[in-house]
Amino acid sequence: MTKKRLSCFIITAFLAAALLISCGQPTQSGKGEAVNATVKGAVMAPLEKALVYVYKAGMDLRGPPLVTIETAELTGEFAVDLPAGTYFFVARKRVNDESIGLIVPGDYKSNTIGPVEITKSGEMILDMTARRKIGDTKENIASDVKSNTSFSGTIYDSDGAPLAGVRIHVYDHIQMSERPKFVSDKTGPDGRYRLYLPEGGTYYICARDRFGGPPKVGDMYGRYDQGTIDQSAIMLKNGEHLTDIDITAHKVW
Amino acid sequence: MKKTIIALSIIMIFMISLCSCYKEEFVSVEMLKNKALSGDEAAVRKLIDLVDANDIKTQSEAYEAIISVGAKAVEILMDELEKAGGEKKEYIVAALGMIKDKKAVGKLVAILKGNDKRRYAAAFALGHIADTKAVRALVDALDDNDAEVKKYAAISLIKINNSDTGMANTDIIIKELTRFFGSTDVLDKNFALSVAGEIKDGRIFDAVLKEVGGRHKEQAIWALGKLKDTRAVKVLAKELTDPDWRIRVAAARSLGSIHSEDAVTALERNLSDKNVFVREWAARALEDITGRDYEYTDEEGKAIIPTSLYR
Repeated sequence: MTKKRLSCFIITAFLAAALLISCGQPTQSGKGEAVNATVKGAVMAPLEKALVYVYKAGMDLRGPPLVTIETAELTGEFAVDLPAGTYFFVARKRVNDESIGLIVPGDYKSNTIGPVEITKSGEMILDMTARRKIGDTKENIASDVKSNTSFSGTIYDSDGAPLAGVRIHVYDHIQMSERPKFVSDKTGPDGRYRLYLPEGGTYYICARDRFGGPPKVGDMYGRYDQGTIDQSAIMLKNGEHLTDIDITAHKVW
Repeated sequence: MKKTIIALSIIMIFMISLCSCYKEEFVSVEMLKNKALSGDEAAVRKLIDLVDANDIKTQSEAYEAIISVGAKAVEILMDELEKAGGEKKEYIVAALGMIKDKKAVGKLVAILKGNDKRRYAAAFALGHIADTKAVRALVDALDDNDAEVKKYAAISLIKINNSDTGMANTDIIIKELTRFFGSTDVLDKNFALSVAGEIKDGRIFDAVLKEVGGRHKEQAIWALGKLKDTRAVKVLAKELTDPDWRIRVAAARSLGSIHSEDAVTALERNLSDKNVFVREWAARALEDITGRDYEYTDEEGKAIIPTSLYR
């Protein structure tokens, strides 16, 4: 065998080996390959029967969308399967229940979220906060209304470390069932939160990472209790700010 | 040239063998569960490994699969418990609780008494198994330095009490609680007072009443309300004038629970308390006792009926 032929053989064998190795790697999405990702989340706080509009990059964000999904009753949750691509999401709820038309005072609208890149199969979580339009200003229906009545604290995990990615759910009844009255933003790495309320009163609170429905196995969940097994009420007056309302959350088994 | 060929061949062989390592066998949780149910020990161990998976979905599915395997998994779970740590250990402990096999009690009590950070899972599990052999350890855990341990110990004692339709379990719990309350070493009696209130046995009344004069006043008042013992009315009525508004609220709530008409006059006085929550809870308690609506003055000075806190 000549040197040249031998070299070609080795190079070819090398390339073949490289090809075999790529067979064991996770699938990379490429042109023409059918990749479907599920984008799911909730429109806060929570906004049932809102519409989530999905636009592909390049489409008019005020025009007809690629797809529209109605959020679930009570929970404001939605889910949509999308192929690989670049997308934008916006939630809207018109009080006249129409799916098209100008957003007028009284309607709800989120900021446009995107570009969101989908490159591989799997699940992606996307929560949105929709604000109510009041005249030319926006009013948050979520818990970050800047009133002067609020409470704050830290959420910890079972190791005592600050827990990111959870929200405070606020209820006005002991059982803490059905829809929460208010929901905070997600905690950051420091586990801290502050939640503004439109008025004082008696509230019951919990911390959880998943929005909607009873806690399921694998969810992070914790109730506020002041050293007892009963959930403790938070009683705050108008204009009051309570601090150190801390909760420990752990996995639901 | 020869050296180059040899080197490239070695690299090629290495890369081919690397490739074969990537081809992991795909195994579903469902498949493992079915194997485990038919007695495959390796499948059980694999499921236990999967509770340590990176994604929550696999963790949860594996955990639920282990529980459905039930008694067949217990010995293996207890064996794996020796080697496991962190979240995996927590899941194993919780699974033993959910399977409710009393064989696991000894090991779980040992974990509860130890220093493991996640021993609150053992407290949780012992409540589900509901074996009275765990009562003493659970009562001692009511004074643990970890709030989650105390909470789950309390919940579990209540579960154990409620799991028996007779009095046998209550007798054991009362005996241990009485010992606990009588101890001078105990630092935190709040959770023990919660348990005392929830098991609703008059034998613990005196121990709870004594705590009204101590550091755990609010919780003792709460427990008296839960016990619904009319012997507490006079003491609770006196607490309606405590300088701390939280104590006045707790007293009102408890008097509402006890439903004694003897408390009505004292509660009516609290309708004009300076604190809005005291006024609110006095109105609620009066409604509970008399069945009539009572108004109180809210922060804006409006006369309103308290909203219901129950759905």
